[in-house]
Amino acid sequence: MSDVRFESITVDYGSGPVVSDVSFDVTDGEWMAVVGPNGAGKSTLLRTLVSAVDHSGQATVGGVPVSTLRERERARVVSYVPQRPLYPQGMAVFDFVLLGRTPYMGPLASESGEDVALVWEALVSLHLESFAGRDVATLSGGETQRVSLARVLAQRAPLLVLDEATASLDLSGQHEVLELIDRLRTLHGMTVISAIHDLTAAGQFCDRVALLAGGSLVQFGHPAEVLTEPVLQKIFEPAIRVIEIDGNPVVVSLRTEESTP
Amino acid sequence: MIPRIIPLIAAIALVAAACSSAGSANDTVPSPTLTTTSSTVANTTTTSAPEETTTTTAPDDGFPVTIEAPNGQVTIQSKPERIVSISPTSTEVLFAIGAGPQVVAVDDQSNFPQEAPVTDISGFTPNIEAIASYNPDLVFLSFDPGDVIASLEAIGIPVILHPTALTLDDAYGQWEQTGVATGRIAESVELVETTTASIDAAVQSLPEGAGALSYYHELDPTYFSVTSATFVGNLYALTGMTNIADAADPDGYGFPQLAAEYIVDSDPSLIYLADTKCCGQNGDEVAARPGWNALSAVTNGAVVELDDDIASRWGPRITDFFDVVVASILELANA
Amino acid sequence: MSAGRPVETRLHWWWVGGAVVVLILSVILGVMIGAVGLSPIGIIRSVLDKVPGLDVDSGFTQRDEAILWQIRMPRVILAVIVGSVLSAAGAAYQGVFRNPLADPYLLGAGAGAGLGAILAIAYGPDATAWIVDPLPLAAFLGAIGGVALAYVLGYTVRSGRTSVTLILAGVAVASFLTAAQTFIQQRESDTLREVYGWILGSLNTAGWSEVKLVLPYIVVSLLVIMGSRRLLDVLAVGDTEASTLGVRPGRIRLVVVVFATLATAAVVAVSGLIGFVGIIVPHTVRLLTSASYRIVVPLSILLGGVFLVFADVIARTALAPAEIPIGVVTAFFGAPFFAVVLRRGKGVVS
Repeated sequence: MSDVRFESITVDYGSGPVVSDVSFDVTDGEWMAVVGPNGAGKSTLLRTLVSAVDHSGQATVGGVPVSTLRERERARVVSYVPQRPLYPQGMAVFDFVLLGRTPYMGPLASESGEDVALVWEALVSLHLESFAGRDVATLSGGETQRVSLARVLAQRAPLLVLDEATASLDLSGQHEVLELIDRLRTLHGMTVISAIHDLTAAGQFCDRVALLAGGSLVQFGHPAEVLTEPVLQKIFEPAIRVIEIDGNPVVVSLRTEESTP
Repeated sequence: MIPRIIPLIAAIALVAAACSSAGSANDTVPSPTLTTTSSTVANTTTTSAPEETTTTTAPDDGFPVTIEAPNGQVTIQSKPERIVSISPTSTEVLFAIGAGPQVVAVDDQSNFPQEAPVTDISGFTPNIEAIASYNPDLVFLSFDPGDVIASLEAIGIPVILHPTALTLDDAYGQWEQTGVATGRIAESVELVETTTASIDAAVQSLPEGAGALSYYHELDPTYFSVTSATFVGNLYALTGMTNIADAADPDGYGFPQLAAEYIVDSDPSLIYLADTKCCGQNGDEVAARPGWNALSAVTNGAVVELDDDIASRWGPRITDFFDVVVASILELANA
Repeated sequence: MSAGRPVETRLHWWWVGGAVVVLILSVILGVMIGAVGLSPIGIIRSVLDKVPGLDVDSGFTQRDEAILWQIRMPRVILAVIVGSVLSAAGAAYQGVFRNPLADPYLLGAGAGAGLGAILAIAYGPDATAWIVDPLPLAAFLGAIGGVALAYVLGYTVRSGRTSVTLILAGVAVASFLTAAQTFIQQRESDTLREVYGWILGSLNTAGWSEVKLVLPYIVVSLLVIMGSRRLLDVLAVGDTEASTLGVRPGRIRLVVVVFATLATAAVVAVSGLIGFVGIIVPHTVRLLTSASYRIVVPLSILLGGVFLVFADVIARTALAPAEIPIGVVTAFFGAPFFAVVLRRGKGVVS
């Protein structure tokens, strides 16, 4: 069970709350998008799920508060890809993906046959078999995204938390990665929570959307309910337009007479 | 880390500088030049101190005097009564020639004689103002770290540099020069003569076969030694013994660090420890060193504990040092 | 889109085997060579004689036997131990701090040991007055004290106990302790020669007692460092990601630092501050093989011993029978050697 519940999450570093009393649920198996302007608190909220920030309120996964889990247990339940992952120089792709098996290996143990098999399975799923011996630091943006996904896949955690998984990719790369995530999700029954900049992509791939602004949850629901002009114009800027193509909300920012100086 | 190389190089440079300033070949001290008749020089059964302290200002008390010190010409206008010594050896010489009452301050390392007025002026990093605060009319140094001499002369204080002597004659020359500079010429000459006589007598008392012996003189427990190209090495050489460190120092730099196994292999007849005060070495410590208990010097009880200070200075106590050396040879010969 | 060369991921048995062979050969070489010329045949015979059951006459005098077994043999063994420890500790530090310039003295172990040494030399009792020699004890305690101080300082920082905070704390502590040491040296200027001799490092007074003294610390610490090598690879992705993978970076760091420092303090106590080894050997291994700590740690241990045996051979034979301080040799010969490896190696540095 990997349903997620945020209950009154507040994060304050001392100079004002970054996340302020946010509460919402994510059902098991769904893909929840967390959207909002820069500085809205999206990354911070996601990081409460990996116990990386002090917070008041509770973040629970499968009914268990994350803060009560020991790190190994938590790592078997929640996997995480940060906005800017580190790809250490000189580390092979295989070894990088093998890191995903860390929660299943004792401190002094080495990898088992099963660990190795799962790593290969992850590499194959993401078409990275021929990259196994390559230095991760030498790969392109799209390739490293797939490597990061391979690692969380090897980690076999039912909840996948992604912070801007497509930040450095071009249009086709973005689409490819999102399709991959969706495929893995359905294949392995994962729940996904991801922070996304691209509202149109959020609308197409995600089941529901949580819109944050200034640390608070301002809108929540299906994409069609959240990605509307009244809502977005208030939160982002007046130039936002939402049009519908094939039943999907498409969000664009159009230059108007008023917006030109 | 890269920066760690810098202190390493600095350390090497410092060790090299300290060693080179302490004993490589240096200029011999030229004999002092007097501008007055030195009738008192012939008078060796000398004059007790009280007579000298009743100073008259008659020109034939020896002042003003110009001497050729190793740091150049130094002119002393009148008999100095406020001497500051930053050199332990010079301190010993001053007191031995009766100039003690003329000394107002000595450095923190000048621990002999007891009555010397010790201050906390550092011999290694002398503070100009601290020296000047004693209002000296003459200063003795044995080396010049950072232009101390120039600074003192700039404020009108005469300075005499008496660096580490290399030979006995160098040392004697310094003692006599000290006598001239302080108006104790007769006493200094007598000191030289008694010292010479003492050393000669000691050499005479050496048994035959002393020249077949070898020795190892230890400066510290990591086996730094001295060769015959140093002052103390020259003293040892008067006994005819062979110094095992000479083979380790082809460039004549004077202070090699010897390999442990080489010392054991050389099996010196006598071992002299000049690291008893600084580093707590003694016969038992030496016998406990790995592989050293088989040395003949250890089994014969020929490990001699020296006083670090006496063994490193070139002042009047070299007779004490030399007597200890000769006594140890005699003891070994009669054992 | 670069076509990088494949990265090594396995510790090939022939690497380990090769390193072991090189280590054994270097020990043999170290024992054969010395300021005193002992015939190789005689040495072999003398070694055979020690085998229980065999009775071989080496033809050596009692003194030569003493030189071989009391002086040269323990010295070579100690060189292996010191080299292995400094290399392992250097690799471990580079791993937990993700910093290619880290060496075993990073957090103030070296500065602390130096301060301990000067205090013992200047103010300590004579070596004979106590049951244990105060100088190695003071150096040992000083090394540990320096690192402890850096940790305390690092932990008081509000913004978090990151590796960078610790490094900065270590820099501050090391600078302070070095200044204190220099100050005392200047005041007690008659100790200068002894202190600098100790700082530059020397194995000249090594005997079996020194080997026995450090062995327990070394064995335990090397076991811990070897056991942590996979975790060092996990730390390579940074503290945040490492904790999402289920490890506690701060705790790993603490454990590794404690044991690496313990071993470093022990060898520093008997051999002084030998520099350069802790940085050079792990990097050489990386350049020749792989950046993975599962490979770097074991090979650094083996090759670190080799490096220091060779350095010590040079230290005691280049100007024989005079000695060169071994810290000078490791830098003087290690730097050009490393320059060659840097230019020709196929791996990466960090």
